[in-house]
Amino acid sequence: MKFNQIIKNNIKQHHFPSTKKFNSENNDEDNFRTWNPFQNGLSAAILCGLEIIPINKKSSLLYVGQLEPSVSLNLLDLVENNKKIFIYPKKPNQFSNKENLIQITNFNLIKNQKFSVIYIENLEYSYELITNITKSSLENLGYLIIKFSTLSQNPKIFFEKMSKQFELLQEINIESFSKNNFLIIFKSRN
Amino acid sequence: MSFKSNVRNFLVTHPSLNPYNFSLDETFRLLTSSLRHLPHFLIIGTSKSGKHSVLSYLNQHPQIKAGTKHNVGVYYFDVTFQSKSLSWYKSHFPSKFSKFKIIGEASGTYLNHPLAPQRIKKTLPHVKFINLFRNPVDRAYSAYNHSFKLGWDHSTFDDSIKSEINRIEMMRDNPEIKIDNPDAVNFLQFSYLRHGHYASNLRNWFKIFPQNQFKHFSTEELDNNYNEIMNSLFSFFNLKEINLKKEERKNIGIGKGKYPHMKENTRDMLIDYFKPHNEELFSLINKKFDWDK
Repeated sequence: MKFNQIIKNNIKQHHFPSTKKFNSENNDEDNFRTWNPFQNGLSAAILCGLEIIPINKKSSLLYVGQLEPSVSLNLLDLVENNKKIFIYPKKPNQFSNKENLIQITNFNLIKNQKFSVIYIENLEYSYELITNITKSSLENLGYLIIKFSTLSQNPKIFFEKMSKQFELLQEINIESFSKNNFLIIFKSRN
Repeated sequence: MSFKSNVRNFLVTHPSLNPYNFSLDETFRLLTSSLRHLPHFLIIGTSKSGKHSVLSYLNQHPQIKAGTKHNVGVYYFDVTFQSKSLSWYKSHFPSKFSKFKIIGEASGTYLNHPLAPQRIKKTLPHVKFINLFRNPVDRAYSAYNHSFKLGWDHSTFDDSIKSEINRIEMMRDNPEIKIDNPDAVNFLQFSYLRHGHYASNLRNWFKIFPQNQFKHFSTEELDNNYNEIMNSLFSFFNLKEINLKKEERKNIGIGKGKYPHMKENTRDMLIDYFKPHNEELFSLINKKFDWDK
């Protein structure tokens, strides 16, 4: 995937907040959506050296956490509006009542469903909850993306616990955009 | 959005207009940039190899000014090329009226950046290059400890290396998931191994510059033969040779002391990993370093 392609969007800019139009290098007519690194952990991670994004049009995505409107559009860009994104917010979110964004209030609703990627936006959830979610809902060899605050947990203990179940792929310090925060990508060992 | 957030956003997106960033010295240097030297030599490689020590030797020569006021390098041709001007780059160097005849900087990450050779060719086609290579096993461990102490990396050295090997394999086998961002290779904490692939990085340079513009030596030989190596550089710059004073090694453990030894089995694994890369380098530069330990 080309770096610029992940911010490419074919829908006109004025329909969305936090977006900006600019010309591509080839001067074609495409519109581009600027990812706001101050709002979106994934966007911050890209600028801070993220090397792989396991979310693409084939991915089934479960998003755990409060979803900002612009971030939901960024995620829809990645899955190219091809797949539904399931969201488990801390508080019900009006914006997520949108086609392709399905809000769930209880994990029992997706009991029989497996996802290739689970993205936990803010790790205020306990380690036990993460383990339960991933055990029941993450595919074998699926990816877990976590935006993690060093204030909420001790990173050393967290890595020790996680390494039993997951293989670390990349840890990115995104402090330039989000104080005390990291974004970590794991791959399931099973 | 409140007025305060609007002002904050404006200052963040227009850093040149931010009054808190204003510096009289920088402004003066920028205004006099046309009267300043561009570098005559660049130490392009590598990070964690002892650039500070080399600069302290080079600066013993009365006609050489190596490094800048605040750092060993400017990191212009990799990090700031798209956001800063050539005048800004020149503002880091001494004026043409100073006593210095040979000017240089040491941005050790240029060697790894895929776009740096083309950018330098356009700006400084006749500049001389110095490569300071360190045993890539020790270089990787030093880079990890640097990142760990700064809080950029929280996992163990073994896990960090495994994750990098995983990423390299995933990007090779499944290019769809790769983010093609050339600047990412510059981040010290993600390329412990790849910064040590000296030969493949150097090949990019040899496609653009003739080999006689380069001088290569290793950190390990610098400790023992500093006088000979530095004088060969002075001759390379067409300056007279001098007798140098021995300098203590600089900038070890980023000021927080030495770090524990690497595990023996990790070292053995890395020696095997780097062996083919090292052999490729030795045949490329016609020089051999004793790195099998």
